[in-house]
Amino acid sequence: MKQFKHFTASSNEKIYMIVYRHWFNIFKQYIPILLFIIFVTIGIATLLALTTDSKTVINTSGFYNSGLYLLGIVLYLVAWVYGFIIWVDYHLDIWIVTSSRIVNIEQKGFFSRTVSELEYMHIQDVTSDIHGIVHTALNYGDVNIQTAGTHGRFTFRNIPKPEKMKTLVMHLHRQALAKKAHPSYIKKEKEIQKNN
Amino acid sequence: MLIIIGTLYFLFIIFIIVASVVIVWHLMRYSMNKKLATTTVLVFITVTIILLVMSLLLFLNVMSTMKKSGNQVDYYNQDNNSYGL
Repeated sequence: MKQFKHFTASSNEKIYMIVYRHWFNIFKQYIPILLFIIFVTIGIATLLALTTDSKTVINTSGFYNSGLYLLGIVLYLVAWVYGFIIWVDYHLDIWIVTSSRIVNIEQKGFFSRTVSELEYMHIQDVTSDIHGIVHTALNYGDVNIQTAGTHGRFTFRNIPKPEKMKTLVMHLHRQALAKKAHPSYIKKEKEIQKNN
Repeated sequence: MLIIIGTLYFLFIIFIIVASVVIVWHLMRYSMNKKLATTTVLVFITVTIILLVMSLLLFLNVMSTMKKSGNQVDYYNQDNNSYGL
């Protein structure tokens, strides 16, 4: 039996896939951080060069240079920690496809987490959606699962190979329906109803 | 001036340490891939410690220079090889 925080697979439950968002989705969030680091590096290098080029320079062994380096390190530290906050959000945002259900663990910031489950029998309709040039080129997008009942929609957001995922979910849905239609399952259900 | 800069730096360090602890705690507790989480945490801790130590050394250097010069910065004039404007 596999056990994680928020998810425990029963002994006869098989985990088919653990899906993370596509790498480009996190890369997009890193672009501003990379630009920030480049900007800080160029800015500090320029300021240091300016002080040594000018005729009246500030004493290089002391306050000014150390202050600039300190500012640079502090800004790098902020960028580094912020980069990891993005990584944690990406790494803990997952969909688990098992033989009997789909589990969606959604991390929203540090202190908010939503865990939802969907059984294949409740699926009504599955659509994959690849929208845009980058999505098409890198083959990533959304898979929307329409469910019966109050749950409404269940969405895999920005996952790689959404069509493959759609096919897998549909296959598991058909398997679940076939299992439900099997005589032994009907017999079991009737027994449960009788006991109730 | 020294007290203000010192306090701001102290608050910044506290913020970074708290954020780092929260990041490490989340990764180790909730990750589905423990091996990747451990590797990531090790890289994160190593780089964070290096940056923190470097910043602390630079901060102490800045502080000692400020203390020595009584909050004044030494200016070096290349024309007549002397300090001061």
